[in-house]
Amino acid sequence: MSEPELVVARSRAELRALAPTGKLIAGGTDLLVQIRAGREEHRLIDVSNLSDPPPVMSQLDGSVELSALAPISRVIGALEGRLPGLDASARLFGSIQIRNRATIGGNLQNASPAADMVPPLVAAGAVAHLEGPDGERDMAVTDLAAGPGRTVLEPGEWIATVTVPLPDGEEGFRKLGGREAMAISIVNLAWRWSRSEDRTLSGVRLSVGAVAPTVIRAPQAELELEGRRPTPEVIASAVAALRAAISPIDDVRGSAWYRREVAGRLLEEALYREGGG
Amino acid sequence: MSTRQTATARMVGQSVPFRGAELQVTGKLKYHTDLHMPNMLHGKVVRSEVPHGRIRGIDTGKALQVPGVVAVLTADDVPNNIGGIILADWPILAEDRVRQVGDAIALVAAESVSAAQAGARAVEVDIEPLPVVDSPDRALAPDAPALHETGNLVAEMAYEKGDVERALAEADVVIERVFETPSQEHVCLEPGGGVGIFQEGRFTIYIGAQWPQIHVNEVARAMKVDPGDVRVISTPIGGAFGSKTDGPLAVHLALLAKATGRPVRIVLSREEVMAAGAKRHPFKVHTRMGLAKDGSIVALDTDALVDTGPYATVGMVVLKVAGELCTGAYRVKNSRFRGRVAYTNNGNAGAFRGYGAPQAQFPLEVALDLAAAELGMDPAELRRRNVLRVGDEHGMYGHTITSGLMVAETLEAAAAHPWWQERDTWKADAEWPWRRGAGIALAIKGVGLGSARDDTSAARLAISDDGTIRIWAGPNHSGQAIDTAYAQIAADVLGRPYGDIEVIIGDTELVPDAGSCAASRSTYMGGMAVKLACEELMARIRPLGLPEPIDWVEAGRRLGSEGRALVESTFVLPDVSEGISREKIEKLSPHLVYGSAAMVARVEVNELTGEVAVRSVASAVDCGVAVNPAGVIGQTEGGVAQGMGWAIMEDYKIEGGIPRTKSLETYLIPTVDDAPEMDTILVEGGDPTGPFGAKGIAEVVIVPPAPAIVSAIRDAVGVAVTQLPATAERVYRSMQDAAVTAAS
Amino acid sequence: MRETTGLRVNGRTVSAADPAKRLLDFLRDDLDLTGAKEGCGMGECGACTVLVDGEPVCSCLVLVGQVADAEVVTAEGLAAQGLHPVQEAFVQAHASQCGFCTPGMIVSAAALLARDPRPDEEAVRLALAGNLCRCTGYASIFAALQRTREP
Repeated sequence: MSEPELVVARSRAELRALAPTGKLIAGGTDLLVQIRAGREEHRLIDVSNLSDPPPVMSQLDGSVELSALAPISRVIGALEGRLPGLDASARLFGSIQIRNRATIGGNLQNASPAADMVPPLVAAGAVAHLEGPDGERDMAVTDLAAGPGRTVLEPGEWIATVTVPLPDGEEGFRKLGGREAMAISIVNLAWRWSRSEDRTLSGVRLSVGAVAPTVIRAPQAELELEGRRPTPEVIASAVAALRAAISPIDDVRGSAWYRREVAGRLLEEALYREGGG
Repeated sequence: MSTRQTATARMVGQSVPFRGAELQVTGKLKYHTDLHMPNMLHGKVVRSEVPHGRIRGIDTGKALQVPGVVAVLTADDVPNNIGGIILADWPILAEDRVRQVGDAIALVAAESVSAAQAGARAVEVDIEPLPVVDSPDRALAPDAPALHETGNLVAEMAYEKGDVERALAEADVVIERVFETPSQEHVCLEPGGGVGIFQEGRFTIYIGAQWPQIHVNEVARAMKVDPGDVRVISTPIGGAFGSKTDGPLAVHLALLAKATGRPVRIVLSREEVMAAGAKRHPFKVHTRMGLAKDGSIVALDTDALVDTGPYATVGMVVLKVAGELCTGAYRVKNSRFRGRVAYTNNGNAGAFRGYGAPQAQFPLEVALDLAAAELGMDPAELRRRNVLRVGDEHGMYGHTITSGLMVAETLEAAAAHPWWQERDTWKADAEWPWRRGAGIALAIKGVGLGSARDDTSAARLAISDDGTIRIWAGPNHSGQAIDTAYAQIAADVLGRPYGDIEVIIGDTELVPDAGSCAASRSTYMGGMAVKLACEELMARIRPLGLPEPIDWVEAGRRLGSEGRALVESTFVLPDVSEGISREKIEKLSPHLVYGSAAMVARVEVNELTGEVAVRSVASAVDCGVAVNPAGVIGQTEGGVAQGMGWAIMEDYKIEGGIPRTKSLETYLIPTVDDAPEMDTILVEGGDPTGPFGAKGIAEVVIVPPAPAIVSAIRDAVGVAVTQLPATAERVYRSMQDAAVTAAS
Repeated sequence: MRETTGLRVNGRTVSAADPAKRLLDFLRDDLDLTGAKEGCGMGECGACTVLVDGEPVCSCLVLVGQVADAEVVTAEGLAAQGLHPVQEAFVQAHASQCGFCTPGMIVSAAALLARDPRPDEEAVRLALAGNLCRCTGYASIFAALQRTREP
């Protein structure tokens, strides 16, 4: 294993030319850990020094466009609480030191099934804007990951921005990890829904992490809740549907059994907390 | 320096800032990781990736061809290939066999770290895997492969006082459980390592060392040289907790230094420390406790099975401590202990803060808690009815408890704390899905190595012609600011300003061997040696007839001219004497002096998920007289966090001898976000045998957190966790099991 | 193109030979600034924390070439004009024991105080969660930060 060289891309144009020649590095908080553990890379191309980076955050009509290349702490700061679920997940993502380097793009491109920033984006129906040597395209965040550590991105392609619809109602994020901070999720859950005055739920979107090869939506569980009041019976059906939708594994952080159990529990907790029952 | 001044305030008892703190906060203190020597090489250890196997061959040819590699060494290059602090069962480099993942097989020295790493990767080791002994149960099965010629049973002990079976049969309440306490990583932030130098036939080893002299002995034995030709200089230790006591690292440095003739530095990676370094001994304990209706403990039967990994290290002594402490802080009429220590292919276990005390007292305290529930008695009251008081017989060995032990007072202080007194109000304010509970636990831990073990500390003091006082003393320290405490003690004996006292620690060429910074002994034993040295100096000064206040320049000149300016002192740990026969004292090494602590923990448990959050811990600590109260409080708070980590979070996993938690990404220790609110009370007392009444407490404080937390979890959600750590998953599973049981 | 002003460490302009080197190694090996420590090499312990343009980062996870135009400050640099208030507070509050995590902890604490001079407990937890300490149990560190608020 020899140390990879580092090339700094100074502009997006330069990046388009350089990208196919090596591995992109933004914050490096995961990639450098992998390289230290033996991952082979001959060349790293830095994307954190662009002279023309995308704006950290742009307010659009009904949505926000977030830089996928800026440190998460800057993005969250610029959001000023517009996305409470993403805000909550960011606070639980690594440490300040990590958030000062890590990017949303890196978190998405890593395609970890336990990535904390991903479920709120999936639940929100966020769309990633990809750039590459052959042009630009958009792709739903939920379609980016192909499996643990794998994405559908073409070689040389990168995530430039992520457009996130602003919530009509509520959104939230809950993580269960081995400790309060600085822990990879055992299970995490993000949700969006609106509640009418009689507590009927609508626009329900659920996303759950660390329970399948990629972060997933749980459409059946959403259907169980959609247009209904969260009575104990409805909650039980949604929990059962969520548990049926996931395919967790045993690993060093927890058993498949516990993950399946607790994924349902987190949904139960969210629903009761948000005024259900 | 003022030479004609008396210290006005007594220094013992003051929370003076720690010496060296300014260097620490400014990043200027140089640890072993920060040393650069001219012409220095970098060393790397080639380690086994299999837990058990026969080495068929080692080919170093390719490694020697890696650019920058200067030397590659194997077992053949070790003059006397044995190590081991008690038993000589741990090869410096594996010969024909590896017995754990992380076993050292070869050493590489190179011009750069990356060349050393490349060289290490190029060493070809052909290993034939052997069946893995992955638990003590398996190790002691008749058909188990023997890990050493002596078999897999490292040590065994059995002791009975009274008639336990009969008392259990007659008891009103019997609590019987099997407890499992896990391995634990020390996770001192500084990884192990050091620099070795071989010059003109002599070795100098810079290494963070709890007991520098032990490395002198190990290097001398393995290199077949006179101990006088080995100098160990302990660099400041970036945390130890037992981990920087023994192990082959110092010899590895010596080997590479001698082979290359150049200074060689090794800095272990975190992953190496976790694979190859010692951990806490996992215990499986079968406990049967019998109580009378009035709450008195009439019988306690403890059977412990201990996993020491592939090398004994200190396993047999840890067992001994567990035997002495299985009755904890209590009177027990009939008690029995049986313990066995087995070799396995799991990571080697060694010294770790508490040294058997947490493993022995967790089962005891949880059993007491269950008994209190069964008896319908307040858990503090149950403890009050059994707690050791002055003049009592020790629960196991029967020796007499001295006036130094204030464990009953710690219990009262903890039980009087608002976090215990007002627990019902606090619990009532819980917000769903979190439920709240409170628990209380107490513990004792012996100070020093125990009776009849010739546990000795030493100090050397010199007064120079200009009146300067220099003290060379030990044990060394690993964050306890022991030099601060020694200077405080010396200032009070000599009546000199604290700042005038220079204290030097950690260099075997300068400092007399004072034993290890371990066993809660540094303040007590090292402090006594310093005190004795200072008293001897005063005894020499007084006959000079100098007027008060003493002119220290004059005193230094006069003593110097008489050749009496250098004082040496030793202090030997006092033995227990009453209530026990000499024969038992020698066999069992019980302690005369115990530190003690009682703690109250308040937790919240998520009834949906099993997550546990420790919200507050109140500690009442009996350290005798606190030489530096802030130091005692700091030790306590650190012990609480480390004990809490062991209790709920630190989930060391090894499967088939292969560690699964290999880095700080998967082995989690508490962060500031997990830290409970803490309140620490120093209980007034004083041990008649300690320096100004001081005794050690650095270990006892790690014991009560786990049982107090487990008790609080039970108080919150009704389930008693008997296997640590009480992770969310384990608590959840216990709650599910309890629900199933309740429903059926 | 962005203007390059060069890398500055503790106020001094320095030149880094190898852009692919970890910032931590550059500080320690090339500049002999050994305050930043390597406790894990993977961003879990925070002992290597330094400020890059005022923000705390793990210097083990930054390559020098990525911060070629940045202002880097280490624990040593905070003490350039005598002890930084947070350093003084750590000494007075006995908030360092073995001291190995301390320089990184100090840097994180200084960054917190720079953006929030009177942090509440929650802010302290958020700011210091990336700095492991095994000795203190963190209570004295809370106390040190409390001390910086006192007049």
